[in-house]
Amino acid sequence: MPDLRNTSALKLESIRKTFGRVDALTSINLEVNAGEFLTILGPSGSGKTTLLRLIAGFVTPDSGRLAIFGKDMTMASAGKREIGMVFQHYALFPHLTVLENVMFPLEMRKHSRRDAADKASAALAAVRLDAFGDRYPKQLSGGQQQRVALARAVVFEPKLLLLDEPFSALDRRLRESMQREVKQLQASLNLTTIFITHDQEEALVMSDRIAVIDRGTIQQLGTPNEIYYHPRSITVAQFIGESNILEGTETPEGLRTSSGMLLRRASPSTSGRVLVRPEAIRITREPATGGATNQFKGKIASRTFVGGFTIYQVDVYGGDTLTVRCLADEGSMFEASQEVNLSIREADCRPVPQDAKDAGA
Amino acid sequence: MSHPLSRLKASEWLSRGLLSAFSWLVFLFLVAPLLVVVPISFSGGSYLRFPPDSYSVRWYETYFTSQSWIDATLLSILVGVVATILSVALGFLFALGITRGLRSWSGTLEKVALAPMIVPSIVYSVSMYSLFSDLGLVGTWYGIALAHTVLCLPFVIIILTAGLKEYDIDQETAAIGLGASRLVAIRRITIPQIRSSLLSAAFLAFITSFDELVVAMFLSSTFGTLPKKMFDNIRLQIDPTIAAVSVLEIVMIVIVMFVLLRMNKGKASRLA
Repeated sequence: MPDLRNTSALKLESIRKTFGRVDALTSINLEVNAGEFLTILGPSGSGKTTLLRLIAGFVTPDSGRLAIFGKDMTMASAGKREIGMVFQHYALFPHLTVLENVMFPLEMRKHSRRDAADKASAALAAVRLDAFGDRYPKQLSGGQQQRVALARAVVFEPKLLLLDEPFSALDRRLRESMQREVKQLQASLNLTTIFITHDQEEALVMSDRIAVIDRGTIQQLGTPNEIYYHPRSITVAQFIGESNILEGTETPEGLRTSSGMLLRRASPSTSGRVLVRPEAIRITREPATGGATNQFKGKIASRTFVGGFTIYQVDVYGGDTLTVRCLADEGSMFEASQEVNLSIREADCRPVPQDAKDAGA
Repeated sequence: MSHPLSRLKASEWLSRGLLSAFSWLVFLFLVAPLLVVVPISFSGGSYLRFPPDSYSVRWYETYFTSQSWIDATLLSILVGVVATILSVALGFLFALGITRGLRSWSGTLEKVALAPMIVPSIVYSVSMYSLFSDLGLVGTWYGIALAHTVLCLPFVIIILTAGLKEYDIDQETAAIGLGASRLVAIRRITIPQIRSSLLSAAFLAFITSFDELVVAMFLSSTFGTLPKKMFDNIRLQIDPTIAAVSVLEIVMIVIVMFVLLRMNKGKASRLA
């Protein structure tokens, strides 16, 4: 038994894949630790699906190397990789019962029918569907089908679990409970999991680390906190959460936007760009008192009530329009064209580096 | 207030009535030949006359007691079964090809595959005759079966391509990811799900071959398939035996269709 503590569960080295003339993946380097929950987050067309299919073994790279627990699997067929996968639309076999679906990977591994049935029942019990073994997939709800797909993907004790946007077909409430359930199962099996999604909220909620992918390359790899508060590029900043991005010229006091606002920052920077998250802006009737803040006056352009919080668009006098998000408070809402004061702490004005591509231009 | 609403209702009622009347008319048009052929088959006289003067089962007796009719029937079944198996096997592979790897060519290939349907059967028969005479296949039952296979292929391909286009290929991918080989995945996962398409394709292929006359006339020698025997029968002596044979064919087809329908129904309720 090799020592796995120093071996990454999955290692991708300079993976490149083109379809015709299109670069699907330009140069992917990625290491996933054993037991980790890693999310590959990207918009559609970013290459994330190609990357997933490549890890699963349905696509082979043009160049590069792929290893699973230290073993080179670059050219190994999908079945040899011992990867459990949950497809976007579950891909359950409709002509087989739930139990037969879960038994399928065990049968393919030549388990006896009895042994396969026992293990499959146990896997179904783990997703609380042991009473549904005799039903057919179409007789189950979306969430239940999802859990069958999950049971089928883990029943043969795979080395990796791949989840391809598994929650996109579920309604919001069900999605949240499924997210918790998947996370619990993953933790209890200590199963290295790679999760593909375009939903940044889902990525932030579930992941140990997130790899943001766009235009065929990994833009940033880090914990949800790092990705959210310290995006390394505009692309990442705009993709994760909502953001105000202000551009201008660097002066000794801070960044002066082309519209004339001056933003002082906690730490100096030369990027010429500042990211302010909408929830970092305080909105008040009277000018705020207190030290290290940037203060602006402005007028409410619009208000959107989203239940738990309220989103305002505020036209800063002699400046940009900022998006502000604050907790909803029925007693003190602001009306359109009302004059308000905005304050932003210096620490919340975060510099954003130029995108690699923009810098080259 | 109620006036325009009741008028709307009346026109809706009228249009629905017209639609069902029209449907029945078309149905009648389609079954009319059957309504004629069944009484004739039970005719007591020796001529094809409708309505018959008297009734008997003597033409059924003639069929069942004549060795040449039975031989022709058995030959047709043999040719039909072989042509069905070959055309479904080849058509399935072809349909897999054009719904998978050859996607950008699929439109063209699909149309080319329909060529045997478009070429006039007499032209096809003549060319088959000249080709098969070089190959020594004229006058053999398997020669007819091979020629029928080509004629059956378009139907098989149309049905199976439609079936495979609806099938979610992710399932086959999933099966492979779960450890199945491509072949096992097709056998265990894909085929059971397009079973109804496969059955319809096989049924249509068999009917196409069983009913085919022109190719059979060119390629058979002294013996003949059932349609050829029927044709010879009217040329030599017109008697109601062919009506009896037709009724037997119809009964057979109805039974097979009923069985297929039941098989698909059982499956449909499970998957619904």
